[in-house]
Amino acid sequence: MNPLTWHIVKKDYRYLRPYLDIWWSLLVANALAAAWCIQHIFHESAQDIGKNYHEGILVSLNWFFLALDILMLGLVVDAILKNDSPIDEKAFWRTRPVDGGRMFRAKLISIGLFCFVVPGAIQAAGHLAFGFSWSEFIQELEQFAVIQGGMIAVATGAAVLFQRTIMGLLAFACFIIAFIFAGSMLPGLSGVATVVVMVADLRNVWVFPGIFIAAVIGLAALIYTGHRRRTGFFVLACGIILMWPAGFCAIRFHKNPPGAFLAQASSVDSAKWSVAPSAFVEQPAYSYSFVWRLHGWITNPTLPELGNSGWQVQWTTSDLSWPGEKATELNFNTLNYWKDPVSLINAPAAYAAAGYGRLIGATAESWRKIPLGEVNDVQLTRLKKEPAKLATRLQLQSGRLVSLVDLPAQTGSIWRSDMTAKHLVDVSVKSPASIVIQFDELSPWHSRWFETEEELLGHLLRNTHIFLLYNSKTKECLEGTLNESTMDSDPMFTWQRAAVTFDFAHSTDATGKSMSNSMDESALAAWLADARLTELQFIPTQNMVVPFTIDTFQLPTNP
Amino acid sequence: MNAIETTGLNCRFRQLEAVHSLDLTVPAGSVYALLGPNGAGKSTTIKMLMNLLRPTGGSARVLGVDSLQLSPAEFSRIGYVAETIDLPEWMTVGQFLNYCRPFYKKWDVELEKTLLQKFDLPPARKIKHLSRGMRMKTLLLSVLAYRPDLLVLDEPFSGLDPVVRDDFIRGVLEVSSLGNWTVFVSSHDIEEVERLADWVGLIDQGKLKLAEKLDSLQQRFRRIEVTRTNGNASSPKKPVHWLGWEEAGTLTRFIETQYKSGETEKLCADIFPGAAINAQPLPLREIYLSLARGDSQKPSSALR
Repeated sequence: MNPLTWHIVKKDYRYLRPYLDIWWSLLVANALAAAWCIQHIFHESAQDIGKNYHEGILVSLNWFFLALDILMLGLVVDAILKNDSPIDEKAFWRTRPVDGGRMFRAKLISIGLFCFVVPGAIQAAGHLAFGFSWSEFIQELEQFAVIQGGMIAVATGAAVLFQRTIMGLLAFACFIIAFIFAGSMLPGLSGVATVVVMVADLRNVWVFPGIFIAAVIGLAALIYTGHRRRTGFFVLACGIILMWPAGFCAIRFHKNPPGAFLAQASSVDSAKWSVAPSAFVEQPAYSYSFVWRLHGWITNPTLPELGNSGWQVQWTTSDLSWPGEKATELNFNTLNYWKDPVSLINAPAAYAAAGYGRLIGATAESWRKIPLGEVNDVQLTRLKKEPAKLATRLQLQSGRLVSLVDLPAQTGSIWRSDMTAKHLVDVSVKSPASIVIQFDELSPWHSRWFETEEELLGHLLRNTHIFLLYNSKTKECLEGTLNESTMDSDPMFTWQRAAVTFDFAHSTDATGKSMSNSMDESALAAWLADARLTELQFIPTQNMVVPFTIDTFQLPTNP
Repeated sequence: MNAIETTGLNCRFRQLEAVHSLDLTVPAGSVYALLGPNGAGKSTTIKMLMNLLRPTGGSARVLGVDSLQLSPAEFSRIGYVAETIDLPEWMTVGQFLNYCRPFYKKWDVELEKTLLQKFDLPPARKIKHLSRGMRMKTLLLSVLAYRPDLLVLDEPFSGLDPVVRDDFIRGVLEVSSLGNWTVFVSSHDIEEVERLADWVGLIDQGKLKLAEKLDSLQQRFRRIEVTRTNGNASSPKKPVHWLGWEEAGTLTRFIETQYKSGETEKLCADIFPGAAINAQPLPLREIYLSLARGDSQKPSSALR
């Protein structure tokens, strides 16, 4: 860097140091607040998991800090540029041996250092300290560059266009509000969700944010180094007028990813397969049940067309003809996996399909049922004669379903999977009818703002898990209900803590109500002694073809 | 070689024509004072010369370069001081000088120190806490320290007390005597300008009305007092270059704008036979006032 340019940058730093100290302190405070909340989520009791107390605090803090952050960014950019004012003939530097280009370069360097590099470094330090990897950091850097770059560009344009700071700040704020507001104009979506999709699309065609930032900075340079404010206004107005339709068109004509859900299966080798009616309490000779979760996602985000409140469930009941056997009804019930855990211990051959999803940034509470396609003609392969461990090799042929863990359900157990290391710190009996397994480790993931639509619609499902307790002696399988506490440490990262509750609900009574608490602690403890925890991870494909291969399940022999 | 040349320079703000077809020549090495009442177009002219305003017509050359093309190389030879300049208020005087120094290869640290003492400026005081006079002296110091070839002062004396004015003028005079500097100063403070200038230009309503060397001007202008012997007022035919005609009893006063020793007395004797004639030199202020008042009898040869 030219020494004179650096000389100007250093001067700007000296001038802005009080403001920068405040701003950077806010960023550090934000990171510390996130750390504080994250520490608390670590110590959240199992019963509190999923209630998101700390997420609420952090979300509030995040909004608070975000507002301050934007305000400070606008102020700092304005101060940097107006410290050597480009606007009028009073500017001291303009009759000194500094050409406009050098001055503007110095200003851009100052802005880049103070508003991009240092805030980025603070965030990076925070995230790396929280345990994120470099690859995740690089991912974040991408969207940080777009978000921060966009805001810097707008703030720069506003500061150069308007002589008065307050006017520049107002213009800056108006632009950001208009950006969000404009998102609501998109059909079928509203509010922030729209903006996310819109930005996602803009990012999908990277050229748009790039052009926008470059155009605004270039425009600012034009005004700063010359006297062409009127021209600047004209070009900016044209740019905005042109950019928004371009953005909308990018969404309109963006090619949707292929259908996310279509459960299909081809004919398979059929073997005798029957399901003995049984119930846990009755200690049936053979009891087997399992849940197949067929994941899908909405491919067309025109939700209002589908139903009333935005989310709709479309399930069908279908018959599955088991070759050589009697037809078994498959109930594709409407399940809300997260709120209404269903024990299928006693359900004979209960095949349920459930779909669920949420928008990026939504809490666990906002998981909703979503419309899935009609599932029919699901066929299973022949079940093996020999018992098999409910472990490790359960998979879909698509390779998208993996078993991650198989371990004794004992307090203090530790498992390591290929995803992450988790600790079972507590396997506690809540009541005679349930146990809770609480994971000690947070499972942070990188929730990016600038997802492509494809990523937006399917990417996050990678973390979909099913937790099962399998008792090898009784051949019983119990599905757990996963409760999560999630929190966004900032707009970029989501933290998650999970506890799985296994409710020992039992067969329905005559009225159809679920019976529970009929198992005493000693029986439960005895049952648990032979139980093993299995975690299944589902990673749906876009076109999910599901030729099930269940060669690891215990086969009931015909009684 | 002229330090400044303008040709048909125009500047229009919507309906207002601030500067009208200005042809100005400032010889190198001169101290040129551009005089004019408030709103005459002095500052606008200077801003165009410094490329702070874009002319709406005509052109200007400063140190041989088109004013629109002035580059850092030229600005390193130009010192511009104006009361309207925004200084970095948050800096101390010392920080300000430290900030300016690296931009100039010719920055004279010794001269800076000397001037700092001479102007009695506190290096540790922030600019925002300086008085108006101190601010101007700080600004002047920051341009004198690199010994510019062209020093442009825009209304440097306005609002300054007499002592500071004197300091200011002394500073300019002393430093300009160190080299062949050109000083271009705009002002309506005539007494101060008279101490500095060797060239004078008079601008009014955006038009240059006069441009001449000061000694030539002072040589040309005389106050003539005619004491008639007959005691009656007369209404003679007056030459157009006689301005400010006043009569009181037997005494007649006017300003001769084309004074030539002997010839003027002879002309007066022809018009006022037997009258006693006394020709007195005029201070610049009187000359300026006589021209600025806009007498109906404008001497075409004196005023352009």
